[in-house]
Amino acid sequence: MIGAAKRRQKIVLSIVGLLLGLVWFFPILWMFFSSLQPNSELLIYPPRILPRVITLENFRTILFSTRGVNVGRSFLNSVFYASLVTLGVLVTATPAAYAFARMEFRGRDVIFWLIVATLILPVQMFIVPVYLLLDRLGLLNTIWSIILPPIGPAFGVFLLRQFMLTIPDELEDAAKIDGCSPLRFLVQIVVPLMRPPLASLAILTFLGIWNDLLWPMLVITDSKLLPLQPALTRIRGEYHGTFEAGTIMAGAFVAAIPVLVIFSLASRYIVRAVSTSGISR
Amino acid sequence: MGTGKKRRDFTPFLFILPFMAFFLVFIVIPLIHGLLLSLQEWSLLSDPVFVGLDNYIELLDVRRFRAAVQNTFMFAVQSVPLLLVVPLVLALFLNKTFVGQKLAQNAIISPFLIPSSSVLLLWIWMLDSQTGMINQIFKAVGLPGQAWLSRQGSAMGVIVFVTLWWTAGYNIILFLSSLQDLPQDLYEAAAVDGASGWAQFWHITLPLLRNRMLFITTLQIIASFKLFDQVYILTGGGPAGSTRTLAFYLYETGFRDFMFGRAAAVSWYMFIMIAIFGLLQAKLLTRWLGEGV
Repeated sequence: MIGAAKRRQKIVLSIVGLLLGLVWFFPILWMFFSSLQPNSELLIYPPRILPRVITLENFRTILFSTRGVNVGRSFLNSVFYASLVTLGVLVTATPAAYAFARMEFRGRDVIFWLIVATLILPVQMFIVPVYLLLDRLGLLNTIWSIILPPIGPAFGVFLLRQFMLTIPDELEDAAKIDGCSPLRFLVQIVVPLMRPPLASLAILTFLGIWNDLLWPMLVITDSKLLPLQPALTRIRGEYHGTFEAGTIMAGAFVAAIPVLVIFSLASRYIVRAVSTSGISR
Repeated sequence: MGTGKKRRDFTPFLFILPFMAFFLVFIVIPLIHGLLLSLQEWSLLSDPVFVGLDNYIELLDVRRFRAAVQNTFMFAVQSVPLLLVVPLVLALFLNKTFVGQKLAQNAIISPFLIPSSSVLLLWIWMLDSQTGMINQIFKAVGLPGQAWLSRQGSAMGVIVFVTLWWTAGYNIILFLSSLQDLPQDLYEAAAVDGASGWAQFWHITLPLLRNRMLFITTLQIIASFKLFDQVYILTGGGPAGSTRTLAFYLYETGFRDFMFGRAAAVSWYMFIMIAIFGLLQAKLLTRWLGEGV
């Protein structure tokens, strides 16, 4: 009897869960289905959820016509920028986090907590002065204006330090006795041990740059250098919201594909990355 | 041994040097520069002039600024509780085991990863007053269609709704990871004592999630003050300035009107408000949830 009631409960849970998932995900499905239909099909009432005619015309228009912005090129720009920033963050944050976690030097903890305290400052406090700084350095409207500033925030150092605190002392002692230099110890022992948090940091940094709109919009005016997000917002001025909705949705979908693919392949890593970003002390 | 010690003194410095260089140039110096800027009057046409606290005082009289503070506050008041409660309920649901759980979880979580411009272009299309899906559904059930984004009464509500749909997944992940860490034996003991599911939630789960809730609330408040993309793409601050937030006002002041000093002052006001808001909610939430512990 209890078994039957339990089973019924599970079935109800499954139905509710799947319906909820479908409703929540529906807008994304609709973005995809809209992008596959000729624009004229989308004006028909009542609307068809499943496309009657399937075409890749919208994707051809958005990727290869040079009307307004070059979405294909901007896509590649975004991949390039996000990769370089990720590399920069990993290379600078790893040794710094190691020093703050494992090495002794004067003022270590004071410096560390002062650095971490800056994390609560809203990004808006930096926009105007960093913009003016890049202007003075002549770096506005170059790739450096996108790649260099995001390496400054202390998030990576904070995240990695928390994990490096857990490395057993014995490992370090053994390495010292073997005459292993700190740099070699860091590269050959610590980095392999830190693979999960490093992966989390890499994912979060990459997504952060991929999804950023405001900053690149301010510092890049040359449409050849424009990353995907500001490029997409320019689509709106070029295509008609109602009569060319399918084409606009193709653009939106192009920007969503990489993250959706990464998520479906590596949802476990992304979930872990987000939960580690939420380590609250 | 002596030389070894000297070298060890030097290595930590080399290890932090690359990061510190970036930190100094892109965090510390801009922070100081921003403070100085906020004390200057400076548009592109003239040289900067030191004006003391004038920017701060003048802003208090600027109608747009006051409306922006109010709009930001309204957004926070609506979105923070929603982004705390809805993800919590969804996480409690998704924390159960059932066939299709993984699929439902991924479907609900995934929107938060999609870039703002995609999400917002999608919602502009969904909310299109003529052929948008939302109005089509309204029509199908006999309700009148709405011009969602161009009506003063609904624009901010739409921004709150879209933000909830878009970013709930992030908080769901945070809640789920906490829920999975809860000690199971407490629940078993409670069940033996005959505590109902609701009592277990109220007396065990909620108090144990306290820190996580505090953390999410803080994140959410900071996020409210940063609200920009939704406004920029969905409404451009309109209709009639009803969705102009602080972050959007800062953008207009700095990069449309090129009043850098005033924009810097706005950013310091933002910081002050976040600090006050953050401390206040920490106190309130601790008092409210503290009783359950």
